[in-house]
Amino acid sequence: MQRMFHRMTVIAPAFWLACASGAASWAAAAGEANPTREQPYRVTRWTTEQGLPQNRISCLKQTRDGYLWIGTWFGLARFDGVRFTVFDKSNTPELVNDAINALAEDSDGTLWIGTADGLVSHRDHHFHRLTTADGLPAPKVWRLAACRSGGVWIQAGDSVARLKEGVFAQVRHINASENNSILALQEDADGALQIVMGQAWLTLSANAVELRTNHASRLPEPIWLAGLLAKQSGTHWLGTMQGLQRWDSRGWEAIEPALLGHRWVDFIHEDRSGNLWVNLRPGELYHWDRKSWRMIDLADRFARSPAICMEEDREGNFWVGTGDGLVQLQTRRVRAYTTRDGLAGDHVWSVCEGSEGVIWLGTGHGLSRIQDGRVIPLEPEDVYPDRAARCVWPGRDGGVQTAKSMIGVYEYRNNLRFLALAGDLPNPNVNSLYGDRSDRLWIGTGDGAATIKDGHITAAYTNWAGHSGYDVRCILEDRAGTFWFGTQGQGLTRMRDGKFDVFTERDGLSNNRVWSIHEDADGALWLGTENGLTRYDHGRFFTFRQNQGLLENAVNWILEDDFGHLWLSGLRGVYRLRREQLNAVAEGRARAVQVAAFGTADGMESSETNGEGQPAGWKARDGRLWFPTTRGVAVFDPKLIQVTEVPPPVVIEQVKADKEELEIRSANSGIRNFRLAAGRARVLEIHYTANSFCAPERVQFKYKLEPSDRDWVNAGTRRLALYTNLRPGDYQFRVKASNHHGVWNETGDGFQFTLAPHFYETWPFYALCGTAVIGLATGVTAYRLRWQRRLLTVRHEGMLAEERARIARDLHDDLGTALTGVALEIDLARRQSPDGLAAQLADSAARVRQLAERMREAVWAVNPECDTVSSLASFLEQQAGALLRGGGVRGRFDFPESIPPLPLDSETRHQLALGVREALTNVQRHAQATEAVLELALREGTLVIRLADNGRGFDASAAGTEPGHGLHNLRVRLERMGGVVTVTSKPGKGTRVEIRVPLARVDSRRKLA
Amino acid sequence: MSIHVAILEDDASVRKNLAAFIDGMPGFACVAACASAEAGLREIASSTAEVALVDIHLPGKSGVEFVREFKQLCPRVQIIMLTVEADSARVFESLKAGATGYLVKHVAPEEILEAIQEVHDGGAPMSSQVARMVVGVFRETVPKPATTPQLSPRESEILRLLSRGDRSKEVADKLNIGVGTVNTHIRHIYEKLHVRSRAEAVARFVRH
Repeated sequence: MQRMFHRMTVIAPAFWLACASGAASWAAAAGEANPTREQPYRVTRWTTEQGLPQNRISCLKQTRDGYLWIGTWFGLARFDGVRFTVFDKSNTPELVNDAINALAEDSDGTLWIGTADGLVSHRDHHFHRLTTADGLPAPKVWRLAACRSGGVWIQAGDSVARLKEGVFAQVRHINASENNSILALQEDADGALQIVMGQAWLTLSANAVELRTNHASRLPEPIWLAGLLAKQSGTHWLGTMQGLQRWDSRGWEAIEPALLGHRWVDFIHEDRSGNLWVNLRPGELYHWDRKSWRMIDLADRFARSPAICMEEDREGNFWVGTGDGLVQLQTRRVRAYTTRDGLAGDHVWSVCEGSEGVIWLGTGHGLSRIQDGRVIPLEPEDVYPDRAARCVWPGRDGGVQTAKSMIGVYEYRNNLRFLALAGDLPNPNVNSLYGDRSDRLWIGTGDGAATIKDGHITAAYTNWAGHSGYDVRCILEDRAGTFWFGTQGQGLTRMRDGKFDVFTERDGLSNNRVWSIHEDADGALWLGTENGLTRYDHGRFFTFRQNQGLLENAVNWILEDDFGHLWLSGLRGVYRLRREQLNAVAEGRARAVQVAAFGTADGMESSETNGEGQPAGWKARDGRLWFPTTRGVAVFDPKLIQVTEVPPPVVIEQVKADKEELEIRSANSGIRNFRLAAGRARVLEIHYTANSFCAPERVQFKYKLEPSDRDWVNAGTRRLALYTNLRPGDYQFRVKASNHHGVWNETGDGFQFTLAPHFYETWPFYALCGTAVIGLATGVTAYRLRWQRRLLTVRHEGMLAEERARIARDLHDDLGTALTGVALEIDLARRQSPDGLAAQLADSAARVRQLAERMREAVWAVNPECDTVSSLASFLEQQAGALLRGGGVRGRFDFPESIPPLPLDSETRHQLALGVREALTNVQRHAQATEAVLELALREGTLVIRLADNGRGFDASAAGTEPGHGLHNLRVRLERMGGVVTVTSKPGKGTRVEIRVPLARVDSRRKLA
Repeated sequence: MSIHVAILEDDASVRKNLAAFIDGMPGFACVAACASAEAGLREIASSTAEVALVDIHLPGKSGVEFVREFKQLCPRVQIIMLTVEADSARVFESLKAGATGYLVKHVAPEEILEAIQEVHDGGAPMSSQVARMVVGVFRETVPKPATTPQLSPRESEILRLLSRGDRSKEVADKLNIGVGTVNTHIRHIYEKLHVRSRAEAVARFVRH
């Protein structure tokens, strides 16, 4: 039986290369001098630093809404790929004890949580706790197993029971002891419960009536550590202090005794494919794919920590709960080669395929060569190995032609031969190489192009269409024999029959920096530029950018696979698009293309590809696509590459109206339609998420609030929707999401609500004119305070700025204009009123206008677009102008002619504005001045603001004689900001107030988004 | 003869009330009131308006874009921008596009009437802040075609005084010239700004 198992090797094979070329190749590779050390999985680890309640993970469960639940001894965490939400006794009264021992999801979708004090259920965001009073056999719940016929199996204390429809039935006491405790509960295919213990294996019949010793219970080894009944094969597995044992009809058998024989196997897990995962104490995780054993490197931080539990999510990622954090294992779909595999440099610029399946790479440190999945050292060595080989093009007889800037173009085969020295080229910078059909090698330089044939420069093109200085980055000879040059900044050039035509942005090109030209099977040209993808077909240009569905606008290189896809390499990944869909968009038959994005989540070492030189991508004869990146070269096999088709489940996590959380879900009936009282939802905040774990940072969202949004709002990766100033009415909110490969969950999640009308939205308008002005004043003030507070609590800093700007704009446009409308209406009424009432109405109108002015100030204070010194200057100027004019004082300004755009945070800015206002009010009220000069200066990192008047002045040396409270308040305000306020005045000589605020300090206070 | 005024404002309450207010004042007549730039380009352009009040925030085509296009159609109509915020960048954009002045929306309607009267009579209001921004534009050292207009020494002098907070009247006194002359100079400055910003837009386009 032992023959069935291959000898285990510590060195893992190149994963899918091995899959493609058969298992034999890796055995050979393992013995090579330069073995590839690639692991089949990409490992990501989360610890308390990222928000886990504790690094020791007891249990894991993915629920059907996609969340991954994580149990620890210090609470329960819910994970959506981005954020851990922790539930413990501090925020969840049902969790009386934070120690979470087990998790299970029943067939109704209820999550069952076994804690050290009670069994807790979770459904629709509600927790419910069951205790011994409800029939729980013992307070401590140790193990749970879902029951296919509904409910869960529970081990509480030394008893096993089944909970169904709220009733604990068929409680069975198990005779356990220190050496014979329960290790595992598992429901088998017949619905019976398998109970693995330290010294016995029991089976409890489906009706929990008959408890018998399993026939597999005859093992000489005294103490067992783990047990599993394999679902597919029905094999019994036991982890013991003497390795792993397997039971079949012939009895027990030790597995791989050479490898596992004298190790403690204390964890066994079977995944959905029927493969086995075991932990060797203290902490080595081994994977058995039913052919061979492989140790999985979990990239531990310290000593090896044991695997305690495992879960396979719906996207096929493996999650390992260890003694030191949560580990995710993602299958690599993309093979990457780096210096670890022997490449000369990690910065790969160019790639091409020579003869005999040899792949040549131009790296930042010279040439490299890959053959049969391995890096083959160069013999003889490359010249100038420290110089970047910016381009490679296949040469004759298995050789390669390459170019190094300032050095020249040479051929590398069994020897080195210069084809052209840099000095002989139109420009020593070479960024592209291209071999045409008449066996000429084209060299794109910083100053036009040249051709080489048979080792001699045969032509140079440096001047066309009346210009020179073309920096040629890519060259293509199309099927009609026309040559195309893409340049850096000078657009696209067509050379046909000796005639040159230049196309630029004005002709419809997406950008004048053209980095890639691809001719498709139908003869259309595809141009990759710095700012978009352009299709050139029958004389017409069409540009694709993010609006047309691209995920980024920079296109380094374009390849086409054999399945109708274009592959674009960019700065944040490699993207697969259907050519037919692109054509449909270009022809107006579709609005946007769907894009599958590939990046580090798929196995690339860096998501950033390199471009700007030719060739920056190559389709090999076997159909595989090679892209140079900033960390090695990435290889995609379009035949094997799988798109994660599982659409991400979308969940609305929280809805808040004016900071107060709303319950949009009731415990058992799911989503409900609720009604908001009048005036609620001034700020409606909707937190949503999508549970996709492959590349959560690439999950995209769209949402729509009907009827307020006419179309879906593209939220990008943002997981929060904010609405302000909703009008009364019936609303429906929906949100949908797509995973990293562009697969959308179109159903998404949603809820409905009704916002009741406000009193002033129903009453006749004149009722407001008379009495509500004051009410409005308080309302606006409260409003201002409320959303300022609200804003301070919004979690994401970047969003905060965005939302501040948006709320500011909304306020302006809606409230500011509405107030103006009110004031005008009062003015009109005033005109037709008797004198007494007219005076009163004039007063009302003035107050409404004051309100509008106050609001303008408040909006300015929070608008992040105004977070600059220059904005403060213009605000101060307007404020001073208006205030002084009102007091009959002539305002003059001494401001620098140009104010550098220095950042100034909202708080300081606001305090300065208030401070200057107080000073201005003093001038207006007390100074009896006719003129005041406001001066603003920037000196050595200090902002200086001075206000000098020619009024009556006062004796500044006598304490307590400062007029009004204004100056005292001003001091208090500004000293808090690290500012200094100086007041100089003498009776009859006017008053001068000077405020100095260090900008450096202001700077450090500012958080950069 | 009353001054013919047009209003472009998307808020119905402000539009209607402002129109009623202007119509009710002797010497003023509201000849067009539109809610969008698109409607404005149709209706105001074909009206007898001499002064247009234009909201800077409009749904669809913005107020700034409106000014740019409208000035091509009716170069003689004076435009005053209405704004709710101290968004000086946007106000300045509209001045560059051809507007003659701006008002914060919530000023008393009497002030609006004064401003209309002033621009109609050939006045050219320019706040100290705008004056400074104009100076900034003309000081930029980006390479430009020789035809780009430059400020004359007198114009620079006037701008300097305006940027310190002087009114047209005070500028006139200091330079010992008439207020009308000052206004003419300011109009010229606006025109040069307008021509220059168009030239810059073209230059930007060519450079790329």
